[in-house]
Amino acid sequence: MANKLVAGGNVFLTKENPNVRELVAGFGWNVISGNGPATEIVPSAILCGKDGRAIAPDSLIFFNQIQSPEGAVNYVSNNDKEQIEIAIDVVPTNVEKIVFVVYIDPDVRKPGNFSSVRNAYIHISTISGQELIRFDIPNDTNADVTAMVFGELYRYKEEWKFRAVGQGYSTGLSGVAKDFEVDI
Amino acid sequence: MPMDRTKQRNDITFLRRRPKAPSTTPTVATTGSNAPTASGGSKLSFERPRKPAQASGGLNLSNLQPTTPVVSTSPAPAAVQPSRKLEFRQSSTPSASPTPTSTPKAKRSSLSLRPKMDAELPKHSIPYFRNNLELSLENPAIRLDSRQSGIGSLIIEGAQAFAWETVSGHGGLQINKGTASSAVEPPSFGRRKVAEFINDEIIVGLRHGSNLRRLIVASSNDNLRLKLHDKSEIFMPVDAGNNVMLISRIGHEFEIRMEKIDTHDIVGTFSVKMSHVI
Repeated sequence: MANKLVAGGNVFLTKENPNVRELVAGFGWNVISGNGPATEIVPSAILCGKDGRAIAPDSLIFFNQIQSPEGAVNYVSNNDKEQIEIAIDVVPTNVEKIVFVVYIDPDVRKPGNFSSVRNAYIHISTISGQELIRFDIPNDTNADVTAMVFGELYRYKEEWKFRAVGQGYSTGLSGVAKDFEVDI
Repeated sequence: MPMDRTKQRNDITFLRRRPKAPSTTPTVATTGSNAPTASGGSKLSFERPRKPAQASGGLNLSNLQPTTPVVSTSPAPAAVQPSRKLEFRQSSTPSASPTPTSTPKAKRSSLSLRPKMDAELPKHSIPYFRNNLELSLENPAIRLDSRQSGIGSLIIEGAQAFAWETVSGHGGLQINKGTASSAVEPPSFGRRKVAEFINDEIIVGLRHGSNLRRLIVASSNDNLRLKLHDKSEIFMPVDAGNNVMLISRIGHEFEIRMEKIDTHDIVGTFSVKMSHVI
C-alpha cells in the first residue's frame, strides 16, 4: 500500500524497497476551465547539491530535454500527465537531491495561477506500476501561487528518501530560479 | 567557455521521460505558394493572395461559412464574414473534473514519438543571446536557447504585420488593425493564439512555440524590438521597411535573423504557404 504523505512528510524509498533501483515520478493535475486562456502547467526538475542549491546554472531540466527510454513504454498510471523514470544507482554523486518543480507558464496573456488547479499530485512508483508514495497537493492553494515545489527525492546516508513539500511561490519560476540559483 | 544549453541533455542519463500518447489535430487544406503581386511605391504591401490555389483536401469544416476575400479584423459589421479560427484541440490542460477519468493507453513505440534531438541537428555558428543587443549587417542573427525559447512569451514592438507558418504546413498573414489579414488565423492552444497582435504588439506564446515553423515580421516605419520573458531585448532597425525579422524554429530553439528584402512583399519573398478555409 502506498504511503500517503502530507506536506513536510518524508519516507524512505530504497530502505523499504531495497530491490527497487528504478523509480517513476508521475505528475497529475486538472485545471478548472473558464472562458479565458487556459492555465498551462509545466513540470520540471532541479538537480541540487549538498547546499540545497542547483549544482550548475543549467540544472533546471525541462522534461522535453530528457531522453525517452527505448522501446514501447506505458504510463504506470493513466491519470498522470507527465512521467519520468529515475535510475537512482546512476545519479551522479554530486547530485544530492532532485527537486520537482511545477510552474505556471508565464505567458503575458493571463497566465493564471494555482487557484484554478485541482487534484494535483506527485507520486513515486516502481516501473512495474506499484505506487510507493503519493502526495496530493491541497486544493486550497493561494491565488498568488504561480510555481510550486511538489516534492524532492534526496539522499540520506546510503539511502534515498522522498519528502513531500508543497511550497508555493508567488514569484513564479523566477522566484524558484533565484532560490535555487539556477538560470532560466 | 560559454555553457552549452542547447543540446538535448544527453548527460542526464539517470532521468528518462515517458512520452505521452499524441493527440490528433485537425488538418486544413493548404495551398501551394501564393505570391501576391507586390504593390507599387515604398510602402509595405501586406496583401493576401488574390488567387486561392486548389485545395488539396482536408478537414471537413462544414460548420464554418465560406471564406470571403477580405476579412475585417475590427468588430464585424453584419455584412462582413467574421474571421475564421483554427482551434487545435491540443491543450495540455484539459477541462477539470472532480475526479480524473482514465482511459487505457495503447502500447506504442516511443521511438516514433521522439522529437528530433538537438544533438542530431547540424552544428551552427550563430551566437546565443545573452544580453541586450542590436542586429546589424555584421551580426544579423542570434539564437535563443531552449529556455529562452520555451518560457513565457516573446513580445515584438513596432511591427505592422507578420506572416506565419506552422510545422503542420499552415500559414497566413496578420496585419495590425488591417483589413487584409488572411482568413485563417494562427492556431490556438489553450485559448491563446500561438502568435497574435495585442495592443500593437505581437505576442508569441512559447509554451506551444514548437508548433511554429517561422514568423516573418515587418514594419515600414518603426524599428522592431523583441523582448524575452526576462525583459532582455533584441533590437532591429528596419531601414524604411527594407529589413524584416525572420523568427525560425530550429529544434528546441528560435533563431532571430535580420533579412534584407528587395520587395515589400513578405508572403511572396519568403514563399509563405497560405492556408484557406474550405
